[in-house]
Amino acid sequence: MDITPYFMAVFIGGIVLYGAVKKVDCLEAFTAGAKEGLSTCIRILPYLCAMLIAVSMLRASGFFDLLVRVLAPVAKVFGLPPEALPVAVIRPFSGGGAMAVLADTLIAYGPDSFIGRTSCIILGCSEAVFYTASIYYGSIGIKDWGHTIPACMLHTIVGMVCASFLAR
Amino acid sequence: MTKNIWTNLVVLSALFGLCWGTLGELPTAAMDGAAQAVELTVTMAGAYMLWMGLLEIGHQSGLNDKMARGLGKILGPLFPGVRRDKEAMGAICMNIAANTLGMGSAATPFGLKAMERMKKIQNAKSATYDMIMFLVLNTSSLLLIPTSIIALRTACGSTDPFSVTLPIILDSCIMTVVGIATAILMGRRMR
Repeated sequence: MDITPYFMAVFIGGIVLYGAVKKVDCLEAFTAGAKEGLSTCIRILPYLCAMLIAVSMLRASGFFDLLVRVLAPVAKVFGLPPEALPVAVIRPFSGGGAMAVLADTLIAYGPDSFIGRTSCIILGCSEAVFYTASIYYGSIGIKDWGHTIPACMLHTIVGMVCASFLAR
Repeated sequence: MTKNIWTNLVVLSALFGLCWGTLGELPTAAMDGAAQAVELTVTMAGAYMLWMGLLEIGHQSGLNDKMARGLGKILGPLFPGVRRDKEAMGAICMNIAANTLGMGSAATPFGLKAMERMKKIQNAKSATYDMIMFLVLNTSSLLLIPTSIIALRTACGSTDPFSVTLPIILDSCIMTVVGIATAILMGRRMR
């Protein structure tokens, strides 16, 4: 059973009810916030566009296929099945892309196989690091990301290695 | 390699296209990506207005402050630079709560709000310690019910679609601990 919609319904209803109890002009407040949301959405569009173009080109160029081949021996050392690498390799770049690759993997190897379970865990625990960073920093116009990528990629890789042990 | 990730990615795909003979497919891929961005923005615009609108109601009614005080007690020590700012901590807490509950469409607008506020109060020109910690928490964050993965597993004929839920939660916890430790160690020079 999926209970997420119930969470969301309680969340939405709760906020408006609380606002009404506290005598907030809810419509006024909502539209003010919505206006800000709309401008945020427009503001990040160029960054979103740039990132999706790059990821789409990278996929079409065959870069991810090569990365999978290069990383296969390394993955074996850490106990990660090489068949789970396609999901792992695209995951830091794109959530939607990883979901499409996961579907291919589950169809090819079965959702309850070791490979299938490992791929699901990899996708579930990690995030699209490059995508998130470029949108978050892009929206506030910060170009120098400091050590964001090394820090985020370290825990992502640790999580991916752990995934195969947790799938056993 | 330049410091700019995007430049690297595009140059890399062009080089690969040249070497692997996939160069001809790149323009279509680029157009697809651009179209995707517009599609996504149109779908997201509604969600952004919904969540940012609700956030503003929460802000005016004092609900955000309450939330920031509650979750902020746990998360505050991780954000030494902005922990005293209710608005920043409120947005950070809402982002993490939305992520945990699987409300992805709500998490991003809250996250962008938090980034904007952090930039403002820290007068930041480059990524600050607190921003990096926020991204680390964000990208290692706990997801209680991985709805889309469960749906996909069911569609593929899994006998036990929920069996990956616990491993995902455990793995997220490991990642969060590793991530926080990394952010603290790497951020030593910044504080």
